[in-house]
Amino acid sequence: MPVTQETLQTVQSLEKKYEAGFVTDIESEVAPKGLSEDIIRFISAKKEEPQWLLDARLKAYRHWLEMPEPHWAMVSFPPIDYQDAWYYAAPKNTNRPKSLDEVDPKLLETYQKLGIPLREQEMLAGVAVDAVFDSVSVVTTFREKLHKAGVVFCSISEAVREYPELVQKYMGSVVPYTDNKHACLNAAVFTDGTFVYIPEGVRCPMELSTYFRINEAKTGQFERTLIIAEKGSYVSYLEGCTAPQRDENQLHAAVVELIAMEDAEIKYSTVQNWYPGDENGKGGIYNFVTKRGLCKGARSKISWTQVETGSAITWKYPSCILQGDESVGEFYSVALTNNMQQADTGTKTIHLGKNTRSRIISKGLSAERSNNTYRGLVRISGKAENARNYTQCDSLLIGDKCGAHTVPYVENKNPTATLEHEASTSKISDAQLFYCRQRGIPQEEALTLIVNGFCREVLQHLPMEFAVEAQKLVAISLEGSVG
Amino acid sequence: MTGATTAKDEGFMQQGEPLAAALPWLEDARALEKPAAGWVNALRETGADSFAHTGLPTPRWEGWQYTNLRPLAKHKFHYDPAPVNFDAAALPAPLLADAGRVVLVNGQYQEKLSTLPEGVEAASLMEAAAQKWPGIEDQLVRVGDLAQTPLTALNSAYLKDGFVLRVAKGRDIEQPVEVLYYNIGAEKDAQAAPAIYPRALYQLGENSGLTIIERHMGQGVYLANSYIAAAQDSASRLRFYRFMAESGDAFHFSNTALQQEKNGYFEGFSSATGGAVARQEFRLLLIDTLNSASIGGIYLLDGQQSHDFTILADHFEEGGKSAQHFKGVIDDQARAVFQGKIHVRRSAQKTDGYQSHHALLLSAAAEASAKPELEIYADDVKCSHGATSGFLDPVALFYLRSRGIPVDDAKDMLVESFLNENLEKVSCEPVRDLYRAQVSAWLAGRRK
Repeated sequence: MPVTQETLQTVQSLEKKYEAGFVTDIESEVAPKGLSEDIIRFISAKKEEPQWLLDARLKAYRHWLEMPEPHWAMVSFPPIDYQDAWYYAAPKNTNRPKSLDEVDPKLLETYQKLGIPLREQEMLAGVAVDAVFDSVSVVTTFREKLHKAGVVFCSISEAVREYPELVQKYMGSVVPYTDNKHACLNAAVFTDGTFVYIPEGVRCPMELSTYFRINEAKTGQFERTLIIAEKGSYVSYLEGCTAPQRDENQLHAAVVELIAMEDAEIKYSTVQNWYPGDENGKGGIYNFVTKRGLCKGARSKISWTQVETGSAITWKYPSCILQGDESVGEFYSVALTNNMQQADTGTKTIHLGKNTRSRIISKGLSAERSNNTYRGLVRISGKAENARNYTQCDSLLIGDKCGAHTVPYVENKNPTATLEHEASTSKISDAQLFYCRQRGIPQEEALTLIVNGFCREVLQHLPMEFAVEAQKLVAISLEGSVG
Repeated sequence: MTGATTAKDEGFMQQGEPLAAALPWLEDARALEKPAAGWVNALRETGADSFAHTGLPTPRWEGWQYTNLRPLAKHKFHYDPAPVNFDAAALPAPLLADAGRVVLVNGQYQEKLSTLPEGVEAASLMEAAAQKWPGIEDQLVRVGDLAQTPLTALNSAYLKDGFVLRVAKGRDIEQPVEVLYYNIGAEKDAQAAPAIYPRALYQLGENSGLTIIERHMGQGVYLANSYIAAAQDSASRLRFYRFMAESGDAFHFSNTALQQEKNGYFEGFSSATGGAVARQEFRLLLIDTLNSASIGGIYLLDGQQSHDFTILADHFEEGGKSAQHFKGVIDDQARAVFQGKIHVRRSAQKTDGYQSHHALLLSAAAEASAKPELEIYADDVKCSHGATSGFLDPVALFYLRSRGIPVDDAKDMLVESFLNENLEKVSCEPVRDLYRAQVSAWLAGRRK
């Protein structure tokens, strides 16, 4: 793409920086630096946890010490010094506010800056929000209305106190602590997260949403999300994340577990916009997340939609285990990398039940010197009669210094199953760009237009509020990458 | 990048501990007679060191998760450098009447049984090394990353058998050359069995042309672990056809490495019908600009067979084209694996890459695994792949049956037409007919 020096400079001067990169000056309480059994005991004591949870944490920690780091992903980073970080940071003055009026105004301001006006959302949008600031869930809105419907939507520490039997039964049942090193670390040190329980036959009256934010320097965020949808229920859940701009790398190792019983449906959407580091790859979040859903009952459905624009490194494979007969798994993803970002993301779909269906649509975009990998597994077990899978992964390269890779694993052990896999890699065609420019659309806008068209198939699966945000995010993340 | 660890996490496999049984295999290698050429010795040592370090790959290795080498541990494989005794009259007859022929028995080049068309020269590997044929050192030493290919490391440790074949600059050889790798193994239940480590090199001079028909066959239990290199000078054309029909109790591992200078043309095709556990690896290195390399294949598997096609098309410079087309039929408890990769380096703009794999499962216990991979660092490229796996189309079957065709015939027709699409990519007509005959024979054998 021929671009004169002048245009390049104009673009650079216009380049929008990471908008969520501010730091909120809030006094916070942190645990001593480093990781040890004592720290885990400290976290557990701080959260006034029951003995069984502490035992589970310690068991996971001991296992973690022996577990090797996963290295198969196409990402490179210096070894992580797990001792050089804080594992617990909570804003002071948050003795579980009962309503928004009791929340520290500075915190509310932070969320306002991020574009999550909690108060307004409570009034207008009708989206229930659980906001997690560093390690602690700050406020959960709309509890009353949800409570009437029988839906439980609270922080995981609250759930441990109030619904211990549910937490004990399901936590770790989809992602056991032995799964991988990052999930194991999370099981040992997780500080907060969200718990959702939808009772039988209930259609959750509103979208549920969590915003995660890392504020403190050198802290890791280890939240845990557990969603249980009982027989015939439905829930749509949104997750968004941001972090301030910092020079050092911060670790985010979350675990998300979804369980869908008979005829239940869970729709899980993520817009991930952690701080990606600067143009030279300095700083940024290491986003090592384990997300997995279990379609336990017959005709259940789990749908993952993700827009990944942030993080220095993304290592994330939201998966579906299709255990119930006729269950359905879906995965829609847009992963965008710019500058020095690295993403290795995709999905795992494991067909166990009869007549199970899955659909995987992945769109990868790489610009500048970034690397973007789709890695996905589709496994049809011998008993999954008439299973059906369709996978499509397309990659778009913007510039000649980036990389786009596709690593699918397709395993079929059942002759009645049908599997289709398609992938393509190309750049934005000059003809399309020329066509737009000829009609007076500036280069930058034309690019955004084409890219949005490329991602449309995925973006349309996001709830409306998110779709608009995601489109803007894609445009902002790409700015400055023309040429 | 992928490093060496031992964890199993997220289901994606990685490096693991070596098969303990694998290490005694090097015993004979250290005892080999020292050759005249220093580089041969150096390569043997590099290979032995690398294999001693890695051992045989296990399913926990990335790239080896679908082919399990455990059945190898049932036998004790030994390498024997002494000449083999065999009955020359009992060797299979040539496939094409007018073709030239090179015969290797248990990896050893049989000069007396070989006839070559004019313009083609051949010699045993050790002889060619002693006579210092130009280029061979360089072309045989470039074996890629031995830590990732332990079987090639093992082959390097035993570097002795095999041959070199060369076509002079500007010669376009019309007559195909059949290369017969015939292996004589041990009785079916024998503990000790021969290990065979041939290494072949096809050298094509500038602007030359050649058609090779490789046949890998044998009887009894043996391990055939070959490394085959093809070095194409500028503007040369190589058509490379293989029939992998090893004995049903044998183990076949071949690593075929193609190196293309400028403007090269390569058409490769392989059929896999034999072997208990087999893996055919192809590395197509499109080193300079404007090369074209295609590789296709079919597999016909039944019983307990396990077969693996692992392909890499590596584009180094601008304007290259590569294609991978694979199709196959799996019956009984057989397993088929396709692992294809297109690697486009930063400097390889204007690359066209294509990859396809289609598997047809004929029985409930059959298994197909595919890993079609793209690794792309240049933006002005067109690369795509498609992979499917499924059963015979019941509608098509019904259509044929409703016209009075018996169900077995109808099934055969569908299988034949499914594979035919790939066979049509074979440009040499007599060879295409040979592949067709092979498919028909396999289908007929199934019905007995």
